[in-house]
Amino acid sequence: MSMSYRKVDSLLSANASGEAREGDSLLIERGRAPLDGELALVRRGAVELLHRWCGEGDDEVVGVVIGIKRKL
Amino acid sequence: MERRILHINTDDFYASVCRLRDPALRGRAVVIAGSPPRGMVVSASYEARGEGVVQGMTVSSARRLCSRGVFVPPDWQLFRRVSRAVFGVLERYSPVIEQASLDEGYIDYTGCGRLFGHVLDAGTKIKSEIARETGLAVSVGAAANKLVSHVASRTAKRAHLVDVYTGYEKPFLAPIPIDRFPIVDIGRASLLQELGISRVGDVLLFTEEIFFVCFGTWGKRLYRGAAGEDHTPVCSRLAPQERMRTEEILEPDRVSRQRLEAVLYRLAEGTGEKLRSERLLARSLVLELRYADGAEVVGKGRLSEPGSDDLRLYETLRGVFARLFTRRVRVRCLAVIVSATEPEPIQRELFVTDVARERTRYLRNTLDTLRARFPRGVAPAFGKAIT
Repeated sequence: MSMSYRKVDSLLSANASGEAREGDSLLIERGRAPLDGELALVRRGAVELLHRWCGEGDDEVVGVVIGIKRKL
Repeated sequence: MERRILHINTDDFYASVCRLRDPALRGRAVVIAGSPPRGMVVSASYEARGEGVVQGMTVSSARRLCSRGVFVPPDWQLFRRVSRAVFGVLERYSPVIEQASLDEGYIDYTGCGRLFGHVLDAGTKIKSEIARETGLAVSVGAAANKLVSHVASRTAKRAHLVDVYTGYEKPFLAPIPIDRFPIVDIGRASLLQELGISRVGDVLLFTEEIFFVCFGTWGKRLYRGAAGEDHTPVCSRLAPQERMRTEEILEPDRVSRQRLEAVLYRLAEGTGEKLRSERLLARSLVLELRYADGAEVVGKGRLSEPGSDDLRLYETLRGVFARLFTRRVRVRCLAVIVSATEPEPIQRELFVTDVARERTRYLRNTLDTLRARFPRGVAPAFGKAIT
């Protein structure tokens, strides 16, 4: 079980389904497959996006989002 | 309903308040400390901390480490006034607020989302209101309980907000260094590190029973905490630990057991006086002992039955002290904290059976009245008479 931060850039914020915005940092849990309904950071081709996991598709899972850090 | 607790931490509170009063201090290393050379560091700005100055250090040591630092005596009246203004803002967001200390507190935000929106939006509003009204910056931690929100705000630091989603407390806490976990004090952190437990996640490699056998109820609490469990409620009053702390910095450092026990009695008297003034009875006491070399040990003692009598508090403290004072090293500071209290029964007994206890109670109340009227010189403490 390991945790890391992933800065949200403009590209990822556009693919974040409203869950994060540019400048935020996502707290990512790596090393396990997401469960249904969990917010996951996935890689589809060259693009990274955030979406609620439903166990479908061939996306590569980067990690599960466990929290968010935002500059106030 | 999903529980949401916010932990609000004012960044660099003491130094920031001093900078508000004196803008010339901006960008400089500020150390808030008592008068030299025996005074202790109350707080240090980020710049001073970068040079190795930490809370509890003597002023002379701090000066050696941070020669260019500005040393400012603490202005508690000003700190309290600014703190009241900060908590005044927080009160607009929830009726349940706990002030943990002058610069940090908890908000029970459960159910308040309908009024103020998501915690991220509420955090932003709180930050801008506090900045506008006091000029201070805050960090916010949001989580399902007090413990995780506290760790989250420590992670957030410097005007950030960290929101830990419910159910993910365990992976969030796992990489946190064990000495930065709020449940673990300095003494226990080094012990755990010696056992190979350097991160919070390492605790969960063992079973809860092992921790209970080794450390008692604290071990159990640590294990549950590492798993992200904490059911303590947000209490609207100031945390008893903050209200019921009595400490004495020894002048000079002492190693004589008799003299230290005399100091302990003075602390017991001070604690008893505070308890009686608030009509509370102590159930357990925590004794903090800091040696001259900076090492600190903490011990806890439970009273045989709840009470506020100086002698009974002293007997409990003396037992804890005997367990803690194991090194022949001079002691710099002793502090007593009432860790658990209960209200004093209002109804008196109609027929007094324990005459001696009733007389003692009457005597203590009379002495408290005298000390309140003539703070120094009259009704000297027993501990004072020894030293």
